Amino acid sequence: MRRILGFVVFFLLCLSALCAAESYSLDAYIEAVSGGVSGFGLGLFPLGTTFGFEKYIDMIPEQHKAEFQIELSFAFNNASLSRDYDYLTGRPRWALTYEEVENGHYFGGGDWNDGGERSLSYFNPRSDIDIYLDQGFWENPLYSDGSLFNVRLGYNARFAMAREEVVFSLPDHGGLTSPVFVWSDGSLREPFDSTLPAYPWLNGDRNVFTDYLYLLLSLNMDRDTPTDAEAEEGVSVELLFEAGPSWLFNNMTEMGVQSDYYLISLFAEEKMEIFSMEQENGWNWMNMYIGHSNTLKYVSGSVVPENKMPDDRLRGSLEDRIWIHFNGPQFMAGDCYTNIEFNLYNTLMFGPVANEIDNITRAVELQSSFSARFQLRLFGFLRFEYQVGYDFIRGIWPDHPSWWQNSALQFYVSI
Amino acid sequence: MKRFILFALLLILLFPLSAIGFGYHVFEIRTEPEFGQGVFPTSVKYQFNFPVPDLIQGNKTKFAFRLDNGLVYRTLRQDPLTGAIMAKDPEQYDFPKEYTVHFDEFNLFFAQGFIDTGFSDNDLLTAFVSIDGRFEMAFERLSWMTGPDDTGGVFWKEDGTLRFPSDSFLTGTPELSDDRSVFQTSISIGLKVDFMHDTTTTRDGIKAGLYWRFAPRWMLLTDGSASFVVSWNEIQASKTLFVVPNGEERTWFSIVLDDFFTYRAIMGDKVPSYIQGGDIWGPDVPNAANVITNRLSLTFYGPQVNSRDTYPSVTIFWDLGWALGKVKNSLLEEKIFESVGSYGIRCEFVVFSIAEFFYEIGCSYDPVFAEEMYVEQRFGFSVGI
Repeated sequence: MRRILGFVVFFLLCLSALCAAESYSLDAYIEAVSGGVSGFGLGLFPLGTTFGFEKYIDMIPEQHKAEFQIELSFAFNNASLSRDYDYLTGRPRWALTYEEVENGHYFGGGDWNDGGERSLSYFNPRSDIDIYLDQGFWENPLYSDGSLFNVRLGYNARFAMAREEVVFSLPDHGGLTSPVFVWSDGSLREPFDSTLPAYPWLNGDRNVFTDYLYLLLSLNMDRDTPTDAEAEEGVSVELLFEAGPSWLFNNMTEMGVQSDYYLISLFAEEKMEIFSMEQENGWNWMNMYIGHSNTLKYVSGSVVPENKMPDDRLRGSLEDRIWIHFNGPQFMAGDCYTNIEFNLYNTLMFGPVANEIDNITRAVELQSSFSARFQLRLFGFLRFEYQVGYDFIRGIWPDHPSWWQNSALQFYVSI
Repeated sequence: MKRFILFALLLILLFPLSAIGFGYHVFEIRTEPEFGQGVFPTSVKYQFNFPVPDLIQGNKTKFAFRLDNGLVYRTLRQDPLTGAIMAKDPEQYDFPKEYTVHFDEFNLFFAQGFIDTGFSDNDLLTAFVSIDGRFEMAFERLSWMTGPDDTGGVFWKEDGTLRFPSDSFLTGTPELSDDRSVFQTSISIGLKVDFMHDTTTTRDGIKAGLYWRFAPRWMLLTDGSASFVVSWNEIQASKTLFVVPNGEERTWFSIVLDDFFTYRAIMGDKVPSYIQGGDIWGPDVPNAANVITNRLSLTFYGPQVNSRDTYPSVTIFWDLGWALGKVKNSLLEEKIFESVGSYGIRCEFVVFSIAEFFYEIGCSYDPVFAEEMYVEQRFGFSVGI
């Protein structure tokens, strides 16, 4: 950990030298959400907060100012152990026969409940530090204050813990009869008493440090939309490289290598305004735009950390999204408005299974879904959201097409 | 029902805040040594300022919403059952005393300034009133139940039985009764005097504050775990002894002498830990009806590295604390007059005012009651404001 400390300090000192002698403005923002661990904050106060600081620096003459940003976040809520991957081999449940699954090693299976009813849920406090420098070049043809091409170089570090549920320390153990990770004498329970190659973040003392460097190249020819109540239009393309190799402080805890991965992602998006009507005061009355995007992503490496694990653990994915977005009238204040969005997703996932030890399982799957989302946003603090969707094709999962819905009332802040 | 009422209250509080566009400040970012070696943040206090016109021309009017939330470690100092001060008999209370608290506190406040000093952003006098609420939930420290050596905590013994009853009121720690959560609303009023010329590395002048916080048991929405009225008074005097300027806005070197004095008086029979105060380096000032603390410090500031918010500093400090009068949250009806003291050095390098690299060493030369004198040092990096 001292090496991490040294590295972070060195990084900051380098940046302070880099940013020296420049005037700057300091902006900040906060995003906070409610929900999560039962009993925390009465379900209303934030369990997690993200906030950051931006500094603008003149680095290249006659170009836009570079943006230096530090973003900090923390969250204290629960996570669940997945039943879908053999914790010793990483073999996915869907690649095995029923008999093989019966003889496999899966959380929640076999004698999981010996010693009392044992949850799959655990407390997962975590915190991130993200630092980047972003330099823009040339002028965005649709937004004169924006840049056409951006290069962003960043560093991200995460610390996370896996602990017994908070309620376990409450009187009567909060109704839980049996802890997940340890026996009552503190000795580790199976399977956490041995290495879990498919779940490296649950090894040893379950204190996880991972970090990675990233480079983001983006091309922006899109319009500025300060409140999200305006119709969007334009084209943007992003190419992202991430590197979280073991030598980048990802192998220094007693838990062994926590991350050894590389990621490449290519994203392209096109949006077009269909119509827009304004009120007399300049606020929107109603507008509509349509959009289309593709994301091609591939994760390689022997150990993919928890926060970078791809869907269904398949290393490659190609997502196609088409959507129609309606914004309703702004009322009372500029940040009070409604919107409705209809989405059609088609996602092709392919390739080997991440964190599988012998790396023999390969698959291709297609998932298709439709969703409709309604949002009511009030004063930049409150967001009511209702979503309904239909999953047409479930890929490797033997489920029938089905409808789903959810709703949420969130207290959030975003500046 | 309680959730609905609380939500309705928040909604009512938020609706008047519909002004378009507002700024915000981050006041404090905290870390805990057991979470990522104190490098990663665990709690933050921030404030939104809503753009209201100044009611008195030339003096500031402020309407703001402050939120403080996250996770902190806290130390048990009184016997939960009797309220006896543990430091009087440390051997009787030989068990881990640190526990974790998740908390959320909001303050909606209105402040009006009077008399422009001409040299500061703050007015000479500022009066304020606020509506406050605080939710807390306590549980064992994060390292609890992670191995055979970590099965004993504040609330649970090593053998898996409760250390204190969970079905009765805990006089010494009212906020840890029952389900170990508390929700308390309160009203605060205060008056600040600010005649301080502060440029980060130089300070000259004086500032003071008088605050009262009313949190009786009959306040709306409270769950009955707390009941108190606190008066908080503080005064800070500073003098720049030596300065080598570097242009108009920065300095090469400066020496500043500060004295920070606080007096806290508290009434009520359920005083939760979060309001007890009396924080100094090292020993704990006992939770008595009256608590006084004082810090005398001498700070040597190095060069501001090409920006005002990046600089090294070395602070030599001397802390004193006194607890006088009746011990709060106690069944023993005892009165005390106890003094504590410590001194030390803190070296830090502040980067952009949001990160600091520090080393501190201090000596608790006058520990509380039967505790032994000790020397402690810390070295680390933390984010903070």
